[in-house]
Amino acid sequence: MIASSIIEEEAVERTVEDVVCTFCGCCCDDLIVSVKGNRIVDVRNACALGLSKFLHMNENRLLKPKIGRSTSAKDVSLSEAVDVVVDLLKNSCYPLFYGWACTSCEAILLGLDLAEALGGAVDNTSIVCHGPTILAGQELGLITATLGQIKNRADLIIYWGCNPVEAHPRHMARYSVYARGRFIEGRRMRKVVVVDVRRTPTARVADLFIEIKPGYDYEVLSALKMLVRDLDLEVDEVGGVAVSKLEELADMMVEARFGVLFFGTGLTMSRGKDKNVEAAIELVRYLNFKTKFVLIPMRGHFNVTGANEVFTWRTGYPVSVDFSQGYPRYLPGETTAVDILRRGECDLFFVVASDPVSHLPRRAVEHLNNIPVVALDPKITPTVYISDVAIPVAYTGIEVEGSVYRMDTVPLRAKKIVDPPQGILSDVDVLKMILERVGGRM
Amino acid sequence: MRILFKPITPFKIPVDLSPITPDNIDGMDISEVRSLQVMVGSKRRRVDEVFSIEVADEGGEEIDIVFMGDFSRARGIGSKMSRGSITVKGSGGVRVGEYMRGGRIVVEGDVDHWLGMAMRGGSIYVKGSAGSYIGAPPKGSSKGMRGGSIVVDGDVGECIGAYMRDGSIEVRGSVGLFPGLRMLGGTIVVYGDCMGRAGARMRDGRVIILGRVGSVLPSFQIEEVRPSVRGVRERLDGPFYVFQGDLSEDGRGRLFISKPSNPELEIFEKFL
Amino acid sequence: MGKPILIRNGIVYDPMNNIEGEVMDIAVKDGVIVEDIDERGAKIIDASGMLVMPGGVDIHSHIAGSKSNIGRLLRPEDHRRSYEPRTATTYSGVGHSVPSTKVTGYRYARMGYTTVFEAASPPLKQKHTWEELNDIPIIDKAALTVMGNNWFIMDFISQDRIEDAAVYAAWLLKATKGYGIKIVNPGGVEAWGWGGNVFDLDEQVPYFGITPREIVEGLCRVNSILNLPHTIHVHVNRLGMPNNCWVTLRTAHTIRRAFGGGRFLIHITHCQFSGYAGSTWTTLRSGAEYIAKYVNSVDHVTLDIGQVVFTDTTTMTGDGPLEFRLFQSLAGKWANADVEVETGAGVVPVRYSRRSYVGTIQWAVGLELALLVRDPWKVCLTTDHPNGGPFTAYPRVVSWLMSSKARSRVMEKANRRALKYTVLPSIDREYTFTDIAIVTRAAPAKLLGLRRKGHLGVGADADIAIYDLDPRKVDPSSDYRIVRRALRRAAYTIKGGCIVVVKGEVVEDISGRSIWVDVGVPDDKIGELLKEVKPRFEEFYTIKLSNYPVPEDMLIESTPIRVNPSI
Repeated sequence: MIASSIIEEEAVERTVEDVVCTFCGCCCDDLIVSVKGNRIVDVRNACALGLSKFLHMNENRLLKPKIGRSTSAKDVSLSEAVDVVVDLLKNSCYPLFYGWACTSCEAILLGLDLAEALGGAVDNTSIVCHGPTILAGQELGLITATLGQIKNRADLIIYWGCNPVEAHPRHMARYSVYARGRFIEGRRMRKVVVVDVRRTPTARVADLFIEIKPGYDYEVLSALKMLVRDLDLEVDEVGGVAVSKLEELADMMVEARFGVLFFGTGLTMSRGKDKNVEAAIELVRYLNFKTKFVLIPMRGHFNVTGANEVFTWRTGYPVSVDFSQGYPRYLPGETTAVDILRRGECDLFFVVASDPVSHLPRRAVEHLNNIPVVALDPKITPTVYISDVAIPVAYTGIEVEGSVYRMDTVPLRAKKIVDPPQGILSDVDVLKMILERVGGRM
Repeated sequence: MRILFKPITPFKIPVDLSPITPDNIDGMDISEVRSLQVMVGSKRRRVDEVFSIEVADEGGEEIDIVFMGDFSRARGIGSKMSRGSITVKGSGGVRVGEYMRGGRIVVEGDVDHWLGMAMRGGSIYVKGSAGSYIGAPPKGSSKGMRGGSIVVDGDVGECIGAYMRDGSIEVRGSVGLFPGLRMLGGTIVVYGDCMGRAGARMRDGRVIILGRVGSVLPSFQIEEVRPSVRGVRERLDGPFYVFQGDLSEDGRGRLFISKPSNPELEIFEKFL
Repeated sequence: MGKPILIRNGIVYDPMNNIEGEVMDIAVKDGVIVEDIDERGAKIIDASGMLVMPGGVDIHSHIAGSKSNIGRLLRPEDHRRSYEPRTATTYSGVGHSVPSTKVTGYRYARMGYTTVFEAASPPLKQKHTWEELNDIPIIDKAALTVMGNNWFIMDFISQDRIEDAAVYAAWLLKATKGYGIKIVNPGGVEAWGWGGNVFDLDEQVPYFGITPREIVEGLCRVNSILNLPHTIHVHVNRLGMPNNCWVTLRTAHTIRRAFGGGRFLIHITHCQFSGYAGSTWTTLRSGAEYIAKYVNSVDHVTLDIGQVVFTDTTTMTGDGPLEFRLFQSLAGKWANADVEVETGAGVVPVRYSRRSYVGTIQWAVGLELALLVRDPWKVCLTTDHPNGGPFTAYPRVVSWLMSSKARSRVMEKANRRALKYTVLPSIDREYTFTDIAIVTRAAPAKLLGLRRKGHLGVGADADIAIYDLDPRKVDPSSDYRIVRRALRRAAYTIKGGCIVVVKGEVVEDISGRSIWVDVGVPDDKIGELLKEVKPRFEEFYTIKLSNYPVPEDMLIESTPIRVNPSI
């Protein structure tokens, strides 16, 4: 033992280039990671958020499978844990599989296999971030582009209800405001507008900042739609914004050669949700009659976009799929994880790569006290803490490779940089073991 | 014929009750009804494994189904029914009266989302409250309610009457955001308050609100003040502010908002 | 691969080997067709009185990738009307016009199709395409790579660096595991980056100093330099607009004008959508006669028809401005997805109605093309799935081709005014079984350069379709309904020597091959060019050059076809 640790200390440093960052939906793919032995010691090009994920990934790590909740938990072997999970699954009539934000598309596909084999429901975390964007997309269709279009062409950039400076720190430099492309050579050739309910750090770089009353996005977008269509408004103020200011924005939009509306949870999760996004899409539709305009959601977690893509190609629906009748069904409010939990309908909750206890509404989480909870996660999260069985897995994009999608649906291969800790498998391997045992097809 | 269905044990997981409708049961004898199959979670079960069934009244041409107990985890009660009646003595769950064409449904408790989804005819009466998307088409479709009437005594959620083309929805309690979203015809009457954005993107039809509204979308314009307005079955006394919209979609829908309940809308009177 | 199979006494149509309805046996061993096998231990299929053909080959179908997935996302209402529950052997799935991955494979196999080409995949998103193709069971698949609006290709061509364009294209194919060069509205999609379009062959593409004519000619030359198995696969400018048949003809003719034929060929895809005469929608006429006349007189042009079927469907194409125009006239749903440096995409749901004037003209144009082009080897049957209708409508299209009675039945209910302006009512040609075998199997396989597909000769892949239909007894002209029904559900489909479908039901869920072209351009040539390209690549794109290629291990059953270019 001693000898091997000495070897590790003396190991030559190696670097891995063009690594895909696994933190947010930007999936920046230019990270340079330095590794000593099997330890990441430095990450260049990453933002503070990405850096911290790579450097602190072993803190609070779940290292052993466990059975039992919170204080009565005891460590078990992987095969014992899988036995228990398989038993629980076989005895359930309506299991709910949830999560899939921070794992690979390969794992997500296995999750769908599992849900189908057991006739359960399966949902991903986008219902609590950009689910409304998807619902609006089903109603009207998204008018979007990959980020390179913005980098190369956009002369008007609007950030609505999002704060990239803090949430997507490299977004502006790599893809939008400061990026240099074929037709646009950086900041001075672009105009930047920020619309938010408070003066965020992002607002500081804006040429025009519009502060709206919280919860009035829909009204402001309706007013803009009127202005862009050259229709008259009979009021002086909408959602706390003077109409003259909105006219200024409408003029900027119409005069842009290529405009983009980036929007975040400030729009999707405020009063009106998917209807807010529908209003934004309709505005952009009208703008396309006059100029070129697109909108791009600022997706949060790493591969949450990938979850939507995989769900869609396999089941036809991007979120909230129910297999209880033997084929995929979908109806928001019925098959959505939050509603299933709120009504207390599922008899097992299976979480992969996400922490619903921290981000789902309290009324939904309460039902988890009544049913068995299974979690697959690299870390000890609040969800792992309350789960009846927890199985540690490797980090996708650090310890195992896998397919992921950036916020603009550009696919990337996330790399394996270091080995996972002894005895810890990828979620793909664990899911395969479970699937095989419950009689799923491989 | 009157048939009572009582769950043997309370439902813990979703149960799809769409096969138990007057249309399906018509012409069956009681043993056939017992052997009907329903989905309980992902498992197929015979009806008599799930319910105790009792024929309360042999007579009568019409089939009257009575569900006794808590059906808040049920799906599709009265799905596609065209005749007879269903009474739920308790709460009703999701998609009560979906694609309904005729007949009558009465729910004595609450119901969840999608009450009367894409309804075509018949009537639904809910004594408790209801969730969102009343009469609305399922996601992605734009064929909403085309006929029939829905009455809810309690409060309701968002987007009621979305894409509605004909028929009526009456709410005695208050309503969430977006009543009459993308409405194309028909009438919505709200006796209580509305959280706002009434008639968003409506093309045609009428939304009448007797309680407080809070605000009117900037894409609506005031037309007149009327002393009273025709409701679904009675004349409603106002006076009412009448707004036209949604102008951002070139709509010609009408929004009737009670003047006494909304003194702050007086500022619009200057345009008259 | 399963055990050897002997198909006994089938009535075989194998046009590539000049077999027309001969009763014969076909032996299968180790996934290929062999001369003979030992009957002991072999699975015997009694195909007497049944029609035996090579497995179907679809040259152009949008089944996977970013665009298809946008279509699926856009249309929950399409999924609710068509779904397939899980069975003991198959996965569940949904979708009428944009089926989910698993059922896409099952539905093709049920019709006796075994090879399908995804028609357009942007290189940047080709990992996505392959992930979906991997999830499509049974059939062999490949993807054509979109290049007609690629900045690097356009820059090389405008600088007269054809050889560098060829090296870059070779690298693109290799990097993305693509099969051939797809050109979508050359230059027009780039202009859509600014909200514009390019409407004719000699219009300038903004900022690029190049015209569509130069792009098409340049890529045709590249195709020839690289010795690719397929020709350039062209979706012409002005597609889906009135009076575009002239652009189609000019595009086809520019190849002849520039190179005089020979190895310089062009495939005009979903030709129906670019076969219109008449200057506006209200005066729309069929241009099929003009196109057919030209195609009959030359031998460098082939086409697939892109037949319109009267149904509710979803249009999807890389031609972003086209979908915007469609949205302008329909005002329903519209999705747009530009792809940096390479192309765009749009999706709009449509309903083709037989009562509509335009719908009837469109329906007639496709059939006229197929019936007026004399040589069936120049024609492939497609619906440009799902643009003209879902691929599941192929049996219906076959019935129209084989029976003028079937066509008349449709015309009875079609728009009268439209029919007056088409020649279809006066055409009495009816396809024979050999013609059908050509346009659904042999011709696409030949055009794609797939030597082991589309025929039943010794050494060919054992991809075989057996239909419960006796061509000696059934007269397709009058009994077109029997033909349609038989083709919808194959009695047997054999894929790679494995029986996958019996009586129209999938009995075995296997995975197919992933076919791509490995162009043998020397690595140092590619390396040198990439060294030059890299700084500009990383300035224009938002991902690193090293993360752009699709690793080969992503492909299930990767099957590269090696070609030797003349560089």
